[in-house]
Amino acid sequence: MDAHDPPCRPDAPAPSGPPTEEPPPFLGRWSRLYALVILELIGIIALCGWLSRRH
Amino acid sequence: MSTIDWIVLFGALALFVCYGVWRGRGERDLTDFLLAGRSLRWPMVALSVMATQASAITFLSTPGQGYVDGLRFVQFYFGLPLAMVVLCVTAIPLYHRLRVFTAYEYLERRFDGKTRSLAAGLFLVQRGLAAGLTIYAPALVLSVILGWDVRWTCALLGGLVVIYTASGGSKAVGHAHFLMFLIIMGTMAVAFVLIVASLPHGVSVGDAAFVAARSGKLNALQLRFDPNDRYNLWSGLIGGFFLQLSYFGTDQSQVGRYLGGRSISESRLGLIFNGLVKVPMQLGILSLGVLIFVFYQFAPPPLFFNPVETSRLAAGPHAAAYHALEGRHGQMLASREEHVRALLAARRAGDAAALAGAERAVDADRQGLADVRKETVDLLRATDPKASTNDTNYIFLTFVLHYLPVGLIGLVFAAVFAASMNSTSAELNALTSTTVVDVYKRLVKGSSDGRHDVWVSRLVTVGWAAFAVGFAEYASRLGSLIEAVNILGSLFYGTILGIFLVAFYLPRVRGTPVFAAAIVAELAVVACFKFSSVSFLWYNLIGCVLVVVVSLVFQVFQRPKREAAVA
Repeated sequence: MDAHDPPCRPDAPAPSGPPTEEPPPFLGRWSRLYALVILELIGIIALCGWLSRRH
Repeated sequence: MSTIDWIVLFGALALFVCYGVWRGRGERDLTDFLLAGRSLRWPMVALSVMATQASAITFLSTPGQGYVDGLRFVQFYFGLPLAMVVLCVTAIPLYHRLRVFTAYEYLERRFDGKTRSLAAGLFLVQRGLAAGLTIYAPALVLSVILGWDVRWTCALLGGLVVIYTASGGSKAVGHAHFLMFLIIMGTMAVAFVLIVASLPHGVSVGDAAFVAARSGKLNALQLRFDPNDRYNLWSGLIGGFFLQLSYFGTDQSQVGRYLGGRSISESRLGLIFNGLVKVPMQLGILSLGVLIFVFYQFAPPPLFFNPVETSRLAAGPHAAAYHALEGRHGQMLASREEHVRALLAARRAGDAAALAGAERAVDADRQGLADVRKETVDLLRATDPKASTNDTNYIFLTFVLHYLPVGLIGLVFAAVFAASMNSTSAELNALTSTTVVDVYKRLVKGSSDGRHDVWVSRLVTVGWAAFAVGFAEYASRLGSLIEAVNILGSLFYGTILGIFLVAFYLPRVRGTPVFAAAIVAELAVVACFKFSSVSFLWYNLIGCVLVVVVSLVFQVFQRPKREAAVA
């Protein structure tokens, strides 16, 4: 290992004026949109399980 | 194909290229050329992201996989929505805040130049080869239809793509994606409806689902955990999650798409849309293959779907044996149709004994047909040991050519071309971004003139297109193309993802430990590929976990050394 690595920079330099985070145009909050994605996935897996059981 | 189909096909190709060139005018600097001036709204980001992933391979191989293997391939995509959520929370705000051109630029800010170079190098190797496969798939289509040389077909396709990608850069790519993906999805939807309408009189969609289920084609979910089983719920959710996280979070062909978004929100909405639509879309395309399977229960499919190989067989020394197999195949198909109709009649009548008898008869037919097919494959090998014995990629197009109406055939072929052009253009744009930003701009200092950089980028785009077309020549022996692409990606994605996860979540780990860990992980993944039967989806997890764990261990060993040096 090289003992002369540059110091770690987890908070690498960010430019001035970082972009602001706006709320999504639907459902009001990002967390609700994320929940919608996960709920839909659960629904699709359930549908796949139902299709598989038709055999 | 008829004259009308040719007009539709070439008219559509000309439209795609001209539209891309027109929308890509006015590039002034690298931000314009590589990131569309960071100006795209979310619908454009969403369709561009989806068009990049859904190559012609998706539209050729996936229905074929549905026909041969049922719905189980859909499990491969289960990790995708979860990966979209994680990237919306972590990577998108970070990349936007740092205003990077490429994902690998971030690694130099976080670690050092050599780690950035390693990740960029792995990407260039993997994506450069994958671009060749992306070009090869539709080239295969034209070569089969026209009897053209595959190499010239690849060159034609690469030439069409490079016209608008080299002239208009990311903006041209994004706008062309939008138009082409809408046309592709519309065409596939019409094809789906027409296949349903093509089912024989008296066979309902419910009957089709019953036949598919009895044939084991509705096997969309496998709960049993088996690391050697390529597609099950766990490999899809866990292995697929890491694959998709790596693909969308660290592969510049996708990062470049959503970094072109006007804001964090526009980029996020693009990925969220992909998370909502991708799995149902894949399920729909696989269902199309299952429907074609059901259709061919009532109509005779060819003995082998690759017409080039069967023509060679029919003209070779084993022609008599082949014709005898064709005869047996025809008799068995007639028998199977009769038994499938009896199965449906027994189902409608609620006659359990007749149903069981018909099921046994259909199973026997299926076994007989499988035996005939195996003998055919053996004959193909006996005629030519290098013969391509995988005909999955020909199933959908064989159906299209024989059963879809005039005009729509040309449109389906245009859609397959468009899909390939979409993926290839995004790949060329990403390869250009990484070559120019992560290699050229670091080696050639002081090249800050925007117009000069744009011209260098155009030349690099042409160079990568030539490389991809050259590699496409070797793609013909790789079996199912969509699996070949995913296996190739899985060899590298885990390692790259591991580097980025360390960068995001382990602030104490420095550049050299993560660099060394990445080398160890990549060697281990290649060893798994060469010497084990572990399913390729797990390579992503193995590579990623190894980078994280080994870099932590190396970091522990590094610390005392530094302290000793300081002392």
